[in-house]
Amino acid sequence: MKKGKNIRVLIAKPGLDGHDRGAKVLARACRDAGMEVIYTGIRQSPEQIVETALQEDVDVIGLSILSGAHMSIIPRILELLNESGIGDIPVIVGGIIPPDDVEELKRRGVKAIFGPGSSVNEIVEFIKSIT
Amino acid sequence: MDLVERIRSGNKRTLSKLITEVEYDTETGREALRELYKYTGNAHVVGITGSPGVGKSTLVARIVKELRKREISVGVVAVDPSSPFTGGAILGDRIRMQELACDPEVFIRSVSSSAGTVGRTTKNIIRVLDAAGKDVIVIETIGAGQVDLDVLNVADTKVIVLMPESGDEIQMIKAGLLEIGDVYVINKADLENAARTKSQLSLAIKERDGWIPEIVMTIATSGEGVEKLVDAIFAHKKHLEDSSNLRKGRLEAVKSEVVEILVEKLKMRFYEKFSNARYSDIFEQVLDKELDPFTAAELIEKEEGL
Repeated sequence: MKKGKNIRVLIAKPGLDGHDRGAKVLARACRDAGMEVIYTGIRQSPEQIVETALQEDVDVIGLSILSGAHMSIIPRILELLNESGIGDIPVIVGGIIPPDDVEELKRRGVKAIFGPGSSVNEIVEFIKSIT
Repeated sequence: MDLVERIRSGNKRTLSKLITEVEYDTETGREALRELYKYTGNAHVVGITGSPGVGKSTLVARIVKELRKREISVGVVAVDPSSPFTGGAILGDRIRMQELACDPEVFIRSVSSSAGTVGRTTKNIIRVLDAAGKDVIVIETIGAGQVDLDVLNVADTKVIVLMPESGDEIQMIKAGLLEIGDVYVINKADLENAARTKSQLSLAIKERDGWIPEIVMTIATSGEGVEKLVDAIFAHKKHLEDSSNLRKGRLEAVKSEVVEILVEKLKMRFYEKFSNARYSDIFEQVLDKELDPFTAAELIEKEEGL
């Protein structure tokens, strides 16, 4: 009776900035695209994010970060994901990330990074393409 | 290690994956439920319902914290609505519970209310958490409509959350919510008129099977009253255990579940029969008003020897 499985996306904001507009807009866009969005809100620690991904069996993790702390927070999340045995869940990042850091984060395993000016549709389509 | 052992030993990845299988009612999920069934029935299931905005998520987070203070392990199933058009959903109950995310004795799962089968889905997710050894399982419902009652039906203790000014006396005497609760919470008790709401409520609820529903005043944002609420939940649990009502209630639930499975199977069988055009004449006649649906059903009953 059930239709095909819905894509489950975790949208979380690590770090200490409170600018959650982008995360919320994306959450709505994913919802309208038929996805189940687990939204955790702001100020999430890497541990909370990874535990949530584990318990909610998500297909994708979307991180929104504008604080500038991405080079310490995101590698830590990737590390914890691997330690928890869920390193296979793709991670995408949205926010303000300088070009040099973009390369480095991708090298470390982030699937895609969407900077200012990215279209919401582009992100939604990308999520669909990797799940 | 096989699946049962992994679940019983608390492997979160296995637990989480299995819940997805169970949610989508897959063959793997059903097979696992068959095996896990004998390990279920130990957890006390608490259902929390109330209108949107009344403070359910905040209250659930507080309840879980209080349970952890008492060294009780907890599973949480948080149900949020999904779009009837796209199936999409924003599952945001966790926002209030993220403090608990890293507690190894707490497992929280968000579920969307899709496909109208959420009652059965929730029941089976509870079973998985139960078999995984959680002492108490808290279900948070959406807070609206029949879906809520379907979900609430699987709970041993039903907690109804209200707030001051949530309705006049007539609301209080309407049928439904105020008949099924075992514990009533007036949350946001620091608002004006909380005492009046309480006195109106106490006039509306009555004893059922030897249990007089308790009314507890809480302020979920500060945690006030939550200890009393958890006490009331356990008082109700004890009442059920002492009065043999727990077994009686669960026996009814078992009966209705088996009937539900049978009905589902029959339904599928009928749809299969209908797909090969054997009865299309009858349906056409009903559509053209030459037959009424009751007679049509009787004709098919006779034809099938039922």
